[in-house]
Amino acid sequence: MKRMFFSLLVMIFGAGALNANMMIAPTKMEAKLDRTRTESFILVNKYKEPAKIEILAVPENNFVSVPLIKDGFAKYDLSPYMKVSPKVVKLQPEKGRTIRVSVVPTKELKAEPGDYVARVLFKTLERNLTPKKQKEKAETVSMKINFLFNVTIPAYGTVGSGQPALKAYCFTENKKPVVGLINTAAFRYEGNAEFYNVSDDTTKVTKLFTTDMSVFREASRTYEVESKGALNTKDKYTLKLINGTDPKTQKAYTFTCSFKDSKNMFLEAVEKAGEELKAKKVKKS
Amino acid sequence: MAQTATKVQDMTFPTTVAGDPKSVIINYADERAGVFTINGTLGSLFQTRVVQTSVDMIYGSYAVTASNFVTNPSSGTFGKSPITVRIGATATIESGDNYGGVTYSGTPTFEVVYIK
Repeated sequence: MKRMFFSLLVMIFGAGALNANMMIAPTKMEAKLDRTRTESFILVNKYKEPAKIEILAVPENNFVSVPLIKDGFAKYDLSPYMKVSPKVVKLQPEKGRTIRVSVVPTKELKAEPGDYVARVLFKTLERNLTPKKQKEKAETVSMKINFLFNVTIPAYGTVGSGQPALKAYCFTENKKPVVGLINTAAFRYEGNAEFYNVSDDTTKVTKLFTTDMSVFREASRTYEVESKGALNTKDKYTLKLINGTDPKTQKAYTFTCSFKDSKNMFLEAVEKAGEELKAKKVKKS
Repeated sequence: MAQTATKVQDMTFPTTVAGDPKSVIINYADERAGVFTINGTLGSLFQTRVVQTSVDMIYGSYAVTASNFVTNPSSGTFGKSPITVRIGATATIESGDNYGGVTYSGTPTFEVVYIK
């Protein structure tokens, strides 16, 4: 038995967890960093007991396992420029509170155009609970895990304006088709992706799937294709990416893909992506 | 669009004989597993995890270690219906863990990462 030197208070009252049911809106923050920006979030405790929640701005790379092309991701970290108010809230059941998150850009930040990212972390806090009367036999032990929980949402800041520079590649992994995106620009891609089979009959284009895709600045990312049937590795496919939702600034990119069945296709595709697949701007339909 | 995360159930290990060294495994599919439901914007991605590698389940000055937390699913895409996330873990009881008749409890943190 590991001896723990916890206080007498903990020994008497035991350690418990705070249950909670969090509702948060909106689901992300986006700010133009030409001046100080503030966004409000609504945080509601939907649980039947009071909840104590801490709100923090934290770096993105503590959370998401997205492979990045360049080192030094910390320089795109928005969290040092973010302020949260209030930092801790105690909410009664079915009660909510407005949380304000401000981004205060410095001169140095505004001099470097591009996208910056961080996370807003909503963190339930622990409290002590009175232990229930023990019913176990003296020779047995019971063990229980009381989960606290955190929710994190993305916060983006943009200095200036620009478009992503995209490359795409396709390969198979565990016999499943995968699409990879590479963005070499300082501005992220976030938008709709449409995937077509055009190789068997160019007059009859078949849309295979539509989904959301995103890739951060100077980063790469892969998506497994949700195809109902097996994709033919000899066929040609077209991937159409539409960046953004504003029709005035929306841009589309198309790529031709073929799925090669190779275990080492990932690295090969990354190395050859720049040579084999060139993005071209297309007219919006 | 709002997003919610709800704890449905904590994790409870089966009652064990004190001082009997063994690993007690709760599979994520087990009815004793931890359960959360989460939802978010249609088509957006998420990841789930338990923040700590291991935690001590404590009674007073005594402790048993829980580790190998597994969340299922560990990632995915939000659809129209809420997603149920189940959590498994392993409790490691050592021969010296012979203080019985009590309930040990620990408080790891389950985390939902809304991506994009």
